Amino acid sequence: METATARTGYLIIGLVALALMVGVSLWVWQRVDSGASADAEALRQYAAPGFQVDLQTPLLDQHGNPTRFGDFHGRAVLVFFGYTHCPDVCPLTLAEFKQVKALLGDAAQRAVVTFVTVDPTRDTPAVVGSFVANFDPDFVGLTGDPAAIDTVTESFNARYRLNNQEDKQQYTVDHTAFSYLLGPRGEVRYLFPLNTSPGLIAQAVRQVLDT
Amino acid sequence: MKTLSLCATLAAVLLLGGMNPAAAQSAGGLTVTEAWARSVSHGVANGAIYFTITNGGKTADTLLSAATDVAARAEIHETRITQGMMQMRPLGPLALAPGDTVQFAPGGKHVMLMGLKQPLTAGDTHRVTLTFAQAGPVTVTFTVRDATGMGGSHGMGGGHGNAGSGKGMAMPKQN
Repeated sequence: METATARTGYLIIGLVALALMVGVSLWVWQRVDSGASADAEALRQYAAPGFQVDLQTPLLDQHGNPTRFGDFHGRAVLVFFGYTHCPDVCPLTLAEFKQVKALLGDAAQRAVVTFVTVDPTRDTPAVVGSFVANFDPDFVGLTGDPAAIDTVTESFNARYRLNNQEDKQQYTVDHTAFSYLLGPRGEVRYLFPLNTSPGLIAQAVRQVLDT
Repeated sequence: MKTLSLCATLAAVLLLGGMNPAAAQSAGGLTVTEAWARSVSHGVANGAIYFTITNGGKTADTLLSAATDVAARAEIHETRITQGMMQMRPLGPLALAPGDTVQFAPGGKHVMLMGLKQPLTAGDTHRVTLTFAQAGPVTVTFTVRDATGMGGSHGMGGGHGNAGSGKGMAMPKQN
């Protein structure tokens, strides 16, 4: 009788302990997983419908080499449209891309950062090169024939507008300020508004490279 | 006894004077702190200066204009997003009521440097003169930081320098 009660007692204790362990594990796993889910959730809001951009029209890189977006096949491509007379937003975005690249570590080799000017009249290859070199000489600065720039820009649904052009030296350009993340086949995977955290962008790049 | 208390007072005044925590640059009740610019390569025309202005005095004032030797022109501008488009526009006179603090930061207000006469190299310092309606012209020293907006600090020294810019990224709130 005594032994049976004792055994039952141990059994109960054992079951309770087991239940506790399972409960705690579930709780911890849920907390950890919800962190990852929160990030995935945050990324989802920036997901783009996956439209193709112009991969054929040749632009010029900062070295004067003809360059098309199709040339980046197989890599994740970060794209920003701006102009080098832009004192604030364009440098800010390239600075953020620099942080993204640092966060990517080795994975950065499978990604490329591009800056496309919407002001090809003032932004020659040399000027675009100087502009991006301030951030990273590996960044690709793209300029070219104004018609070619227009074709490529429109394919991204990016827009720009020249202002006060009576000042030939210092006219400003309004422009959409999204950053685009292209997948390895040239499709737009993510659209990031200004000031999206570099951590989130880096996460998106890794995701795009892994799928 | 009198000499001692005089010395003590003097010491206190000197200490307090040198202890200005932000190594701020002030005129009247206005204080300008953390003035910095991002580095700009040779061959690039424009840059931007950022800082914080506080009106700690009792008189309302207005920021009217900016000028600098390092560029052909300096103007007070603001970046705005309107209908999805980034627009940068000149800002008219900027009111500074007593107690106001106004941030000039990336993505927002900035002093635009137009037609740089030289590259801005991280670690260098330059001067910009801000002209106010009441306080008149106030010359501010700004530090050039690297492309990511970090560093270039000259530490806390007394006198005219800025406080160390080691407050990390001077960027607006991230997601």
